[in-house]
Amino acid sequence: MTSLFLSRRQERRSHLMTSPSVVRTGGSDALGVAMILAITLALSPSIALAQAPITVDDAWVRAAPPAAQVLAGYFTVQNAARKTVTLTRVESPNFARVEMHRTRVVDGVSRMEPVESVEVPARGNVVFAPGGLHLMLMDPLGSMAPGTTVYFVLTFDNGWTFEVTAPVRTAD
Amino acid sequence: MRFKLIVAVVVILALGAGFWVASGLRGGELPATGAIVLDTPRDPGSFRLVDHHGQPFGPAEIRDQWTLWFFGFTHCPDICPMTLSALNLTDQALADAGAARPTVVMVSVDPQRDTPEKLAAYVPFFNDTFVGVTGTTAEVLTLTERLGIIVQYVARDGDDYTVEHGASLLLTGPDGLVRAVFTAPHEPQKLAQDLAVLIPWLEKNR
Repeated sequence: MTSLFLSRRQERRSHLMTSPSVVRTGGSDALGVAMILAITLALSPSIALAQAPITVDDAWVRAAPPAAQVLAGYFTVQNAARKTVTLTRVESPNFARVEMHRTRVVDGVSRMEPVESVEVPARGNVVFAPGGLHLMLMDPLGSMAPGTTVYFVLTFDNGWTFEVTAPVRTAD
Repeated sequence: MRFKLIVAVVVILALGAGFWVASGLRGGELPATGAIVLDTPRDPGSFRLVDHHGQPFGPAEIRDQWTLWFFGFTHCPDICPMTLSALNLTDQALADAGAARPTVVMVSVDPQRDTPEKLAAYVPFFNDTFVGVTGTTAEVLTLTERLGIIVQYVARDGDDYTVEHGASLLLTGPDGLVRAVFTAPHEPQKLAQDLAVLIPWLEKNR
């Protein structure tokens, strides 16, 4: 009974690993199943690590008048890993140039400061939002009417890249 | 005992009368708002700018109305659209409340790139009652200096540049003088509430 249970679990895990050879363990061979289970469990953390623990949510581009030559993009980067990762570059096929910037109001004066890279702390997040960190999107290549979808490619210092889609919309 | 009671009554009446006289003289306490209300209104002096319809924009254009001034530019992707959106929500909130709506004017601090045509395709996008204003760099900088709005040009790659600029909003009255200053950040509901009490108060008291 136990071995059958183990063998079913083993099969599910095996599918996850996409290695069909592992499935071919007889349900009766409890020792063999247990061994394979142990190996699979030992391997599973590395499977989890192979997927980048980064998620990018709430990406959007502020709708701007047709005359606008620069727009702003925003998103939230979540880092579920135990290590800080650094966002080093953002590119887009929809704009001639993309830069990361931060708006700061210092002594009542609005300033826009270029930001070379942005650290996303371990188990933390970084929010790009109006009035703070934002993407400066220069010279749109095509209409940026509300409802348009634009693409960003985020590159991190460890080589991870993410493609993100962002709708063009108003803030409210 | 009776004497003490009389003294107490007299003191209370005197205090009450004092407050009544004081409030009468001052025409009511300055309402608590987020604005800096100027004791001495500031005169923007003479200026010759042009609005987004290509029409002259000078002291005559702001007479007999309340005007809320914002300084920005179209190459500003984040804070300028954010402020213009906030001002649109402020205007809507004032309209919904049936309160006086000051005319919103955006003065371009980047007159070299912001032509009247450019402003016409930009400013009304946020609210079609808003007015975009530009002019020669000298005229714009003379006005901003008189109004205490800092403008600094900062070089970027190549010929590109950005503009650092004062983030405050100014409120001018029907006499064309600056009566109040709102410092950033600008929150639409708060700004609408403040304007709804401040404009009637200023009309009565200054």
